[in-house]
Amino acid sequence: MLISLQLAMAAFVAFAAIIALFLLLSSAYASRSAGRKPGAGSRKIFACGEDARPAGMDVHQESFYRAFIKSMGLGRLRAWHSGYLGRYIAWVFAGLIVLMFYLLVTWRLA
Amino acid sequence: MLYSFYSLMTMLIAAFLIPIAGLKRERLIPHIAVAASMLSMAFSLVTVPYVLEDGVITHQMEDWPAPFGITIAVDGFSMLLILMVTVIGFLVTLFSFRFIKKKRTIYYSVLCLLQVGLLGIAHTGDLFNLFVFLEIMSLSSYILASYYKNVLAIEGAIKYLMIGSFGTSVFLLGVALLYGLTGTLNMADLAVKISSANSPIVPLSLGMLIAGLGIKAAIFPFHAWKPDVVSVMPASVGAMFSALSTSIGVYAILRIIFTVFSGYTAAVYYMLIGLGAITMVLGALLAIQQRNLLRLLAYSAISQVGYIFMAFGVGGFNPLGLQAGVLHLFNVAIFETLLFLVAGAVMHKAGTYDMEKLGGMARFSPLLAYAFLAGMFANAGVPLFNGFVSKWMIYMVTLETFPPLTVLAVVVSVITLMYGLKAYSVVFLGNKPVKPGRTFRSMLLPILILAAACVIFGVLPQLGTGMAEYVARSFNNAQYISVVLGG
Repeated sequence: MLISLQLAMAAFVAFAAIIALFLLLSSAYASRSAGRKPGAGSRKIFACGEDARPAGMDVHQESFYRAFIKSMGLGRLRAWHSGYLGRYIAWVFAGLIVLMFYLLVTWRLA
Repeated sequence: MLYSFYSLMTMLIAAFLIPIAGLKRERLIPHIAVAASMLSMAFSLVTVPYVLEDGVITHQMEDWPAPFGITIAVDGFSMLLILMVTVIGFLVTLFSFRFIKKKRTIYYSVLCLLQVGLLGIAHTGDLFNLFVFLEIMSLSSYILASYYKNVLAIEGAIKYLMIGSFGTSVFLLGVALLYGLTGTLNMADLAVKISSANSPIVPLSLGMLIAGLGIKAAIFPFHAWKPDVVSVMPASVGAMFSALSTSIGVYAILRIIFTVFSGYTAAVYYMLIGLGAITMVLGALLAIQQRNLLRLLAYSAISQVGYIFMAFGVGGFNPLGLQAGVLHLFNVAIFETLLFLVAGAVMHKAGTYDMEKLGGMARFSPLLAYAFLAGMFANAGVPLFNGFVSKWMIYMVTLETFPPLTVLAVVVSVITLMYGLKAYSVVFLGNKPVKPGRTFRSMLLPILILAAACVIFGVLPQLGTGMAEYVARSFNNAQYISVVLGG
């Protein structure tokens, strides 16, 4: 398994090195053929045809994976981690009881 | 020669020297702490050749023979933890040099005591001293959790105090039951006597010990306190917490299972697999919903501990699982510390951990952005980073033993990448009008060292796998028992 890991790593490193070299050379060629870099004021943000100000292009953390979280119903998990100490202690106590019960039953059966 | 015990003594002396030095010149305190942690690290590094040569090194306090006296025993697994504590402790202390500006006496003194507790747990050869050092570690943690002394910090500290005290009480009860059954607290002697014991006290005490330590390790269902506590403490302490306190909790559980209760049924391995799998999934699904950067990283750490437990559970059936678990424990300590320290540097610059208020940090500190990217990729198990090596081993060993776990592990890695990219995009990309503060070199240096470690251990996997292969041999307790009881 270690040999296969090493082969996989070696193959990936070689592949990554080739891709990196290709990207480096192509970006160097592109920047040479493009001429001087445009000034900051002349750069426009692509926003699907609409005008967008740089200051307006903030990434809101709430928008990340909102659909995924809603569709999977992950909000309930957060509700279980409400911050109430009593609930946490109840979980700890329940976990202790379940753990001891499981180990006792499996010990008896062994 | 057990030079690593001098690491513990160094930190203990520093913990009491710092308040005395603080009376005269408070400016000396960070220097004393950094010097002490550097010396502690040196002592632990010097011990490595002796452990590699002898396998297990022991020392009996006051020459009282085992199992009657206090035993200090260091094998490959405990040596790894000692190295992790001293090296990461040094890096965190260095980071704190400019990060912590107020209440330095309390902070550095208690930070040293925290390391004393961590080192003591790794060194001890009996359960009662394990409890004592666990208490030292816990009490130090409670104080550090309340460092900022605002409402949230005090609430977090009280939560941790209540749950932590419950855990250590349960642990002590388990120790007491074992003592009543066997008449000994020495771990090697317990291993011999438990193997021939036929009493329900055995599984009950095992359950109590695991539950008590499970709270420290923050595995399901004992994990809920961790994000509430980590999000209110300084990021440097959060790094120590997530990297070291959790790792020591994991170490203690595995020491008890594989050394003391080694003859127990396979049910305990299924328990590790089940708890690990649930913890892994739960941590990732909760991390993806977080708004606070420290809470996200805390849930991430919980998820990674799930991987470790699952690997060790599988290791009960396939020895390669033990290597995978050891390597992932080591890698998690590196990249979790890195991520927390970067979060601390971000807070130092921008004044908040709220991701809604952060953005565009890459413009002001590209080095921090790259370092966070390295930690995040390592966390997700992306090739060329250290996390990939250990996660690949976990995938391979679960594929051989329990294939559905491989699917679960890969899916959780994808979710890990999802929330990692979310954190990076929100904090470092974008164009928020944030007035950044300065990142001092003493804060940047540990971050860059850890980021380099993530890459080095990823590009040169044989460094980590060789270490893990050696450490995994210490899970066969025969040599440990013969050296402790016979030597």
